[in-house]
Amino acid sequence: MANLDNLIHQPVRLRIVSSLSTLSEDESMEFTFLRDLHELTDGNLGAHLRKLEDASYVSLEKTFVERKPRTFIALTRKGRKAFSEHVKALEKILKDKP
Amino acid sequence: MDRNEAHESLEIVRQATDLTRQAVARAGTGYMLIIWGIVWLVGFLGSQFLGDAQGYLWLVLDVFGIVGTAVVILKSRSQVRSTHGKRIGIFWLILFVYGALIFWIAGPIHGDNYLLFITILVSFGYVVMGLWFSPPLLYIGLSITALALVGWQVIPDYLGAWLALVGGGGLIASGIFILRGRV
Repeated sequence: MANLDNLIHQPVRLRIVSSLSTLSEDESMEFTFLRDLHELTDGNLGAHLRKLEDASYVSLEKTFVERKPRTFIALTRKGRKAFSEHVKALEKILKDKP
Repeated sequence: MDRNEAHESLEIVRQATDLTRQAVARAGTGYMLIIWGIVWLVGFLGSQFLGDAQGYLWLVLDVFGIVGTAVVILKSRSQVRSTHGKRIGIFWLILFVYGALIFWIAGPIHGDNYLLFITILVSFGYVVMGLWFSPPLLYIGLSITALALVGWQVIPDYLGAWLALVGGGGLIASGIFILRGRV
């Protein structure tokens, strides 16, 4: 049975995880791309990512692209499963409750 | 959680996934379509009007297309890292090898039929890319194929110009459409 996930349920984190869920398992998204997409600040996005990383829902990889430091974010298998269960639980509420 | 809250959350999920898919598609696909649309438009017009001199034109256009594609790939790699680029490159390489094999075995294909053959081969590539990654490319590929066949039957004397217009013009228009976020 699918369960709601309190960590993912927070609206900003739900947007972040939803965006990352559109990528396949071997893909990752750059920090500033995700920040601009959802009109967040560096600090706000960083704080939410730390919470998701602590739960092992996302993985962060720091690297250099054209000599500039970049952080790439990917949804882990655990995060993908939690998101999928969360969405199923939401759909079930819509279906079951009149 | 009540029904309204669940509905709002699912709406957030839908909006965020749509926004992301469009932004990722815009980053690469739109510019790529415009670049290859220019190559196609100018190249096929050259085939219609330049005669033997068209070989040099195609050489310049191919270099423009390959360099432009490399720039777009490098730019979009700084936003989303993926192994798709490698697979897309291998797919197009294999498609052209198969095209060359068909040309060799079933040939010789002359004049306007050669232009039509290239058009349909590339359109098939867009159809596969559409099924694989981005649905608009599927419709673009199918539309170009249908319009190319219509031109082949109805205005054979102006086939080069017609293919330039529907193929090149179609790709440029589709690229602009995607960049403006209409799809």
